[in-house]
Amino acid sequence: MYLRIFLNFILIYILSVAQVSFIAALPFGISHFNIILVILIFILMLSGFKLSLWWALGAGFLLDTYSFLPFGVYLISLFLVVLLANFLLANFFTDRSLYSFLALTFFSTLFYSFLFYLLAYLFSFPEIKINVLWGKEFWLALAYQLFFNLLSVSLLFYIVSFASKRLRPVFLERSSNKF
Amino acid sequence: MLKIKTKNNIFIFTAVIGLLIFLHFIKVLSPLENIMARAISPIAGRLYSASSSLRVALSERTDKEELLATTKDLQAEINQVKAENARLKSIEEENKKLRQYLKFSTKNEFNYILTNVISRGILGDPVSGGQSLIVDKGVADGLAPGLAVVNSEGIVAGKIAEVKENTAKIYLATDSNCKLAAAVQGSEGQPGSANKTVGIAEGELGLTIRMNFIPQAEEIKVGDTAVTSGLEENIPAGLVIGRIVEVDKTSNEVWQRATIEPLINLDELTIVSVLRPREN
Repeated sequence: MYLRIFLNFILIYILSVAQVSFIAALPFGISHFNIILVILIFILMLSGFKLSLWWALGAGFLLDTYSFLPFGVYLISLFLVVLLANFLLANFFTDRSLYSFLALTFFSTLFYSFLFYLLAYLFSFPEIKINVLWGKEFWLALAYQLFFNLLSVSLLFYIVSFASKRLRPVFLERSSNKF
Repeated sequence: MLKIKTKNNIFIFTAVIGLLIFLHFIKVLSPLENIMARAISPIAGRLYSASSSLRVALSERTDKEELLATTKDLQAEINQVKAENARLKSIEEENKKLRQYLKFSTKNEFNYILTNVISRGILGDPVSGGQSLIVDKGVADGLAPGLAVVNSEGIVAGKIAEVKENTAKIYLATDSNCKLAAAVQGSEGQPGSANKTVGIAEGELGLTIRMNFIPQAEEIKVGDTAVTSGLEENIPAGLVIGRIVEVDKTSNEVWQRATIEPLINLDELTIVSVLRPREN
C-alpha cells in the first residue's frame, strides 16, 4: 500500500520535472507537448477515476509550486479535465479502442487549453490579457499541442497493447452456434 | 452505487483542492513548497541543460560557406577589438592613476550570483513563446525584481521579473515585458562621446530588441553598441545589450527608433549571473 503510494509519488515527481525542465526547453512546437495530460488520460482509461484524480492532484500541486502563475491554476485545470474526460469515457467513448483514446485526448487537450487560459486570466487580471485567444500564437500552440499529444497517445497505445492484454479487443462467441 | 462513489470522490477532491489553495494563501504550505522547489533544482538543472543542447543543435543549420564567411568577419572583428582593447587598457591604467591622485573609491559595487536555469517559458502558455526563464535561486539568496541578468561574458540576458523563496522568473531581453534603460555608444568608442543618447530598450516578438524614445537630433547608426544607461536603480551602466542593426528615422516623428540584435544566443543559456547591489 505505502510502497504503491511512494511509487506513484516518485512517478508524478519525475513527470512534472520532465515537463517543466525538459519538454519546456525543447524547440518550439514540441515544447507544447503536454505529457502530464496524456498520462492522466491513460491512467483514467487503464486504472480508473480515483487514481487519475490523485495524479491530477499531485501533478497540479507540483506544477503550481514551480510555476509563477497564481497558485491553483494547474490544480483546478487538471482536476476539471479529469472530470470531463471521465464523463466522456463513461458516456461516449466506452470501448477503449485507439479511436476512443484519440477522441478523449483531443477533447481533453482542447478543454484544458481554454480552461487554463480562462483561469490564468481570471486569477491574474490584468497581467494576462484575454485577447490572447485572438492571436495566432495561441492557435498555433494549440495545434502543436494537439498534434504531439495525439501522436504520443497513438504510440503509447500500441506499446501498452503490445506489452499487456488490457487494451486488446475481446470477441465473444455465441456458444449456441455450435449446437 | 458507482455514481454515488464517483460523486463522493469529486466532492472529496474538490474539498482537498480548495483546502490546498487556502493553505497556500495563508502561507501554511510554504515550508513544503520550499522543500519541493529545492528538491527539483539538481535534476531540473541537468534536464534543462540536456534539452537546451538539443534545442541549439536542432536550430543550428549553417553550411560550410556561411561558416567561412562568418569566420572571416569574426577575424576582422577580433583584430579591431584587440586594437581597441589595447587602447582601453592604457586608458584604464591612466584612470587608475588619476583615481589614486583623487582618492576615488574603485571597488565594484555589485555582486554576481550564479544561478542554474531550470525551466523555460510557462507550461501551456504560447504567448510568452519561451522568452522567460526560471532559475533555481530566489528571495532566500537575495534576488529581487528588477535586477539585471547577464551571461558568462557579462552581456545582458534579461531582467528579473518575479521572485519566490527559492526560484525566480527572468524576462529575456527579447521579451516584450523586458524594459531596460539603454544608451547608445559609438562604434568608434571615442572616450568623449561614449554614451551618445539614452532611450528605452524593450523586447520585440522574442527575436530582437527595440529601442524607443531616441530624440531625432541624435545621430545613431547601424553597428553602434547599445548598453545599459545606469538610469535604473539596480542596474549598473555599461552592460552590453546588443548591436544596432536598423535605425528607423522618419522626419515627421518626434522620436526615432532602433532595432538591436542581441550579441548572445539566448537559447543557449543554462547558467546565468544576477547582478545584485552590494549592501553597505
